[in-house]
Amino acid sequence: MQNRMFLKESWLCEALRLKETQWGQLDDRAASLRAAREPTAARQIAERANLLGETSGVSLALGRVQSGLWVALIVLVGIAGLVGSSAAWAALGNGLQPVNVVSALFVLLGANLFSLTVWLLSLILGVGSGGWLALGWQWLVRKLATGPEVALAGQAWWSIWQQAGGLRWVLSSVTHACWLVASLTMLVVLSFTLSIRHFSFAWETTLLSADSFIAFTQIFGAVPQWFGFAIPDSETVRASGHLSSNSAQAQALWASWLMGALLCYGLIPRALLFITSLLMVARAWPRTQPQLKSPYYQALLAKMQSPALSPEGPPPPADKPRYPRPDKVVNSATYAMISGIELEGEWPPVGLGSAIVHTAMVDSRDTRNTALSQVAQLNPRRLVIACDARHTPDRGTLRLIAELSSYAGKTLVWLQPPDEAQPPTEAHGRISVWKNQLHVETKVDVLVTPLLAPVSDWLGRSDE
Amino acid sequence: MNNRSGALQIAVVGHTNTGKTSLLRTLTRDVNFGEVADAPGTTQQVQGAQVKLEGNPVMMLFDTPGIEDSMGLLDYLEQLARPGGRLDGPERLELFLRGPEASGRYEQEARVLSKLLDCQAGLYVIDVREPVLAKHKDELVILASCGRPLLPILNFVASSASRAAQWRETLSRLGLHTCVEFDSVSPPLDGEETLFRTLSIVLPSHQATLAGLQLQSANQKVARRAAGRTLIAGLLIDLAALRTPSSTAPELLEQAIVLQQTVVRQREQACVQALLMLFQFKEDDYLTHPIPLTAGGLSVDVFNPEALKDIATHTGGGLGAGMIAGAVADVLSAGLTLGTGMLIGAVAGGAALGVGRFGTRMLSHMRGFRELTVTDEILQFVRLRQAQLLEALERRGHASNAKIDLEEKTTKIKDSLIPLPKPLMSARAHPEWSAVGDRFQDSPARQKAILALVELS
Repeated sequence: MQNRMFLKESWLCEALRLKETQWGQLDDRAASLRAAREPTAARQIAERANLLGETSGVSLALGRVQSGLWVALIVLVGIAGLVGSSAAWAALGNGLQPVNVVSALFVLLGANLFSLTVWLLSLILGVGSGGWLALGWQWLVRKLATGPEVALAGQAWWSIWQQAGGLRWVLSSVTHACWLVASLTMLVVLSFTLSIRHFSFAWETTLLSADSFIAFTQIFGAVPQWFGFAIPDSETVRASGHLSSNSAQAQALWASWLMGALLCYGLIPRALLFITSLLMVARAWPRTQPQLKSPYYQALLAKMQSPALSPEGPPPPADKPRYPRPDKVVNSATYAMISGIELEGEWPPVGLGSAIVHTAMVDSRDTRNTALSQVAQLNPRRLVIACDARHTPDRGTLRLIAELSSYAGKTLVWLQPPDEAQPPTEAHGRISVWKNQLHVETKVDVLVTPLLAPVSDWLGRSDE
Repeated sequence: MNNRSGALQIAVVGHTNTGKTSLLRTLTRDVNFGEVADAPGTTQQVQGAQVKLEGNPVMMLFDTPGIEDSMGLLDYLEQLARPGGRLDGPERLELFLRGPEASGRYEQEARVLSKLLDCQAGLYVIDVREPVLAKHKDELVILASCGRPLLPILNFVASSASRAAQWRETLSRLGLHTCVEFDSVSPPLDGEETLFRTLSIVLPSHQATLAGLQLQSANQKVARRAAGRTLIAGLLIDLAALRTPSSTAPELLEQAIVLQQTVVRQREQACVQALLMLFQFKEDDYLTHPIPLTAGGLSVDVFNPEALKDIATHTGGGLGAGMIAGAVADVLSAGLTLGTGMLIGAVAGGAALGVGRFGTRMLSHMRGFRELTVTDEILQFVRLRQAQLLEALERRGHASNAKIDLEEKTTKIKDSLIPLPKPLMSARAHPEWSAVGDRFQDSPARQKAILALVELS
């Protein structure tokens, strides 16, 4: 079962989840790295929790709460046993006076049946959790397990069962277990005491008739009868009404009737409910697994198993010149030229002096070839290449600049910044990118200006 | 071809510096994928990323270097085609990839094209802030000759400089009528779903996978929002319920206030971290502005009306309601006139937990102690700020480099306070609900309050 977590691992995961959401993220780098080697997502989460639990002290707290849970359970069951046996003693009395069967029955079953009714009501109405005894259990666990992180571990324990929809049944199984133990000790003490001591039984009434008491005996004894317990016949019941001593046989009948009632109305329902609760707990058990599909675990898993794969193919050669340059042509001409790449404004620029020759505006493959041949033919003394600073200087553009500049004496890249009116977007970043790329790749000068004048000025300058 | 486990393979292609790696970061929610910068040629190698459906990698997205010299390459390709006569697109590209320039001048372009030929489709990423240029059209011609369906992704559509309309027209003219708007820095809320849905039109044979991914991303979005709201509700309950006992002596009160402020700020920071982790952002993606806690931000209110009401309902079962009503009236009118004798009597009389709890607080009050709580204003402030953070995180792409800064907005809303929601009012009465308090104790009632608060948000 590689994909399943143990209950304790689920519990630990939940404790860490609560800790991380309430107190902030833990430093899980080392744990994540180690956990990432596990084969499945569930194992990765469990392994991370195990490693983090050790370092953060949460595992220790879990251990304390766990022993607290057991100790509290044992204490409760112990108390239930004591209460059961003393109730049995109390029901039979000291043996000097006849046992009042009705009050004995009330002592043995009253509290049990009352709490059972409340439990059933809370189950039907869907309120409460699992009985008062269970609340006592929870309270006792809190009192027994103290220390840092312990509140968190306890919270996590109830939380996983709550999420699995099994909290009611965990708590109910404790409640029923206690009543089961109490009923069992009652039965044992009762049968033991009745075996070795002599009791006489009687009933008393002021208001009711003997017949109603006979009916009560019959009805109450009907179910135990199926299990072989005796019901006192109407004569015996009538006879027991008088406080005079009744026959040994009648006493045996009453003792059997009493034990049968305790077994059928006290012990067996609790035993059945206890088993049902355990079955419900077992059914909820698989659902205590952490919800790996929940965003919290998805985020954790994404951190551990990065979706990125390693880069493919060989890395690009670092030393290879990315922009092979044609050989520099010796220039003899005296022309000053201007060329433009992918500009949006008017071409040629308005106000360009007549002495300056302009090439075609490069905005397609054809115009690119035209511009290249124009510059190559004229071999200008000075060349200005106008570019839009908003564009990204890609390799194609840089290569064109390099090629154009190889036909000219001196080259200047005129970078036209975006309109001042437009909101300043990423243009400033792009200008530095242009300067960087041009410097590294083509070694030409750059001038950033929206105006033509400084450019014309540069073109008109004489070379020494 | 390396078609591992039959996953759908998609190449993310485009001109240089259009945000291909950014798109991958946002789609895979991985802030560390590749390298992102506003410069050409940032990505130089093909790198894949898995997209998982229920834990199984069903789709591979490949980040590729940008195409930079499409004009030169198209010239070269046409030159190649001439001697052979009639070569179709992919054949011509195979010829190019076998040739010398594929490892020379057009090495970077060759990586892109051979990857696209390996994949079932390509996402063509466009920076719509750039004008449509001839080189882009040439690029599309080359990419189209791969014989793979291309889905244009309009990136940075949220920018003011967007020229999306111009791009759409150009794409239509080139026969690409379907495209997706997806801003990788601030993606639309349903961006991923739209992308997968549109992709399934282009790739009908992978409809099932893409429909699964579409559903998954919608579900995850809902789950993330719910989880985020639960985290915030937990924070608010913790803060509303928090009580720090303090002596009334000025210097001790000062100490207690500082302690309480530290706890409150740490708790908010923990929630911010948990939210960032939930949405898979880095811890330092949020600019922290400490809550403006002054001494006035914490109030001394032992006699919170809600607290008194709660005590009345708690003890109602154990004691006569009239007696409790009397006690409450007593406390409200005279503050301290409630006699210790009466309290002790009530506790001894077997009253429910409420009196015990109330008694402790009353006694400490009479001994000159106060309890500090977080004021309504601060709670509202935290509540609104966290809600804004959640919204900002939902709309944030994993390619975003800017930090989230909510300071300006939150100062504006500070005036428009609405009354505290009911679950927070009840949390006031339950100091044990505060996970950062020293009396913490989780209970179904606390969980119910958190759920109720989530419903309200």
